[in-house]
Amino acid sequence: MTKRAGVSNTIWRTVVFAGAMLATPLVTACGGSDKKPATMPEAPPAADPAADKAAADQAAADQAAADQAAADQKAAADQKAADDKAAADLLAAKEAEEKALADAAAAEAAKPRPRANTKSKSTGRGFILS
Amino acid sequence: MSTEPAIDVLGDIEPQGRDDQYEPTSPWWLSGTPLESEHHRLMRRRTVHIPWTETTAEKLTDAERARLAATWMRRSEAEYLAVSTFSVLAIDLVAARAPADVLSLCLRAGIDEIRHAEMCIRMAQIYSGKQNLPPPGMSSLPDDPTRPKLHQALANTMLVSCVSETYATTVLSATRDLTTDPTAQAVLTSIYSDEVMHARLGWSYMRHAIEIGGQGVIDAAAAMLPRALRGVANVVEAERPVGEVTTAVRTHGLMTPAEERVIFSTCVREVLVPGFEALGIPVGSALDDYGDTWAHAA
Repeated sequence: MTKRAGVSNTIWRTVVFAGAMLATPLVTACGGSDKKPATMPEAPPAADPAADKAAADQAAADQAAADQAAADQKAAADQKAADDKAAADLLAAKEAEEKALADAAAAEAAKPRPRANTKSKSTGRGFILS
Repeated sequence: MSTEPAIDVLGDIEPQGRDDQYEPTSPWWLSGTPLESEHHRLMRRRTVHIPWTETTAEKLTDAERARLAATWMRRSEAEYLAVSTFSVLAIDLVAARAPADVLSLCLRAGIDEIRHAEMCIRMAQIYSGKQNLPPPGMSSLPDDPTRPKLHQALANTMLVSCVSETYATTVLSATRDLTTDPTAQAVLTSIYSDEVMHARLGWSYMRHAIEIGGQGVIDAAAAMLPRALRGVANVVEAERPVGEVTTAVRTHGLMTPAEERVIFSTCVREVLVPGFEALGIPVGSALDDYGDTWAHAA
């Protein structure tokens, strides 16, 4: 690599690439959705029929325990669903608020700006080398 | 508003450096009021110590010193004007309600330019023996009150920061490489490290503006690009002070106009155009305008 190419590479990396965050994709104002795909619940295991009374009792006890576990699981799931809904509602409200602010900022930015109207002239800018 | 962890945009630059051996740079330019102590606190924030007494200017001929004095004085004038450039840019950014970090960095850039002007004034004094000041004046930036404020802010950020300051980092980096005088080398290094942040400011704001403003911002940037490149080319093509750029002069931080043309052309091709294209901004005839023919026209 020549010295000049090295300079260009350094400036590209430290100024342009880092400043414009080119490692991450550009998302413009009309960008896509951030919805996550829904997940499917796992199917429950198939029941095993009892062959005798002991087995039936055991099965009944197991069933009762399973019913209790299922009830507990359902209650937990219901609570989780309620928590998730509350969080989703909160997030939606926050996003709506941010969108309203962004819309207001965009509307404000679209208005003419107040700086005095001075005629620009063709002039040089930048570091004077020699 | 992002909660993402910040990426390391500072690289190997320490923008909050502090010169513990700082001494007033150009005291003949100060007000003689109590403001001076706070000014020195601001000016002390620089990345490297400037060894003013280690200059090798006494080894140069009178003609060589005069050549260097003239160029460093021109540099002081450009840096002085840049104070107002960032001040006017800040007005445009405030009007467009730019994010707070963009505003603070823009205003800090103006303070950096005061430091640069002081250093260049002192460099001119080292070579000329005279305590001169840049003439009064202010920079003018394009102004179109009829267009959206976001577009105005973005267009001038592109002009000042993305193009002018990015080119400045390129040319300063190249000039530093051939500078062996310890004082000039440190001054160029100090200015270079500030310019890196001034240039990043533009690229970051452009990214931000495109994300919130979409195609309108891209169109405004594309329309400004030829004018921004021409602004830098005007500097490169400008007449230079009388005097030969000898080998000794080069070691104090000067290049020839011919070399500078090649550096600008390379910067357009390898840094600016790829950067704008990566952001989806059409670059028009930039590569042809500042290609090999222009680079070797001097």
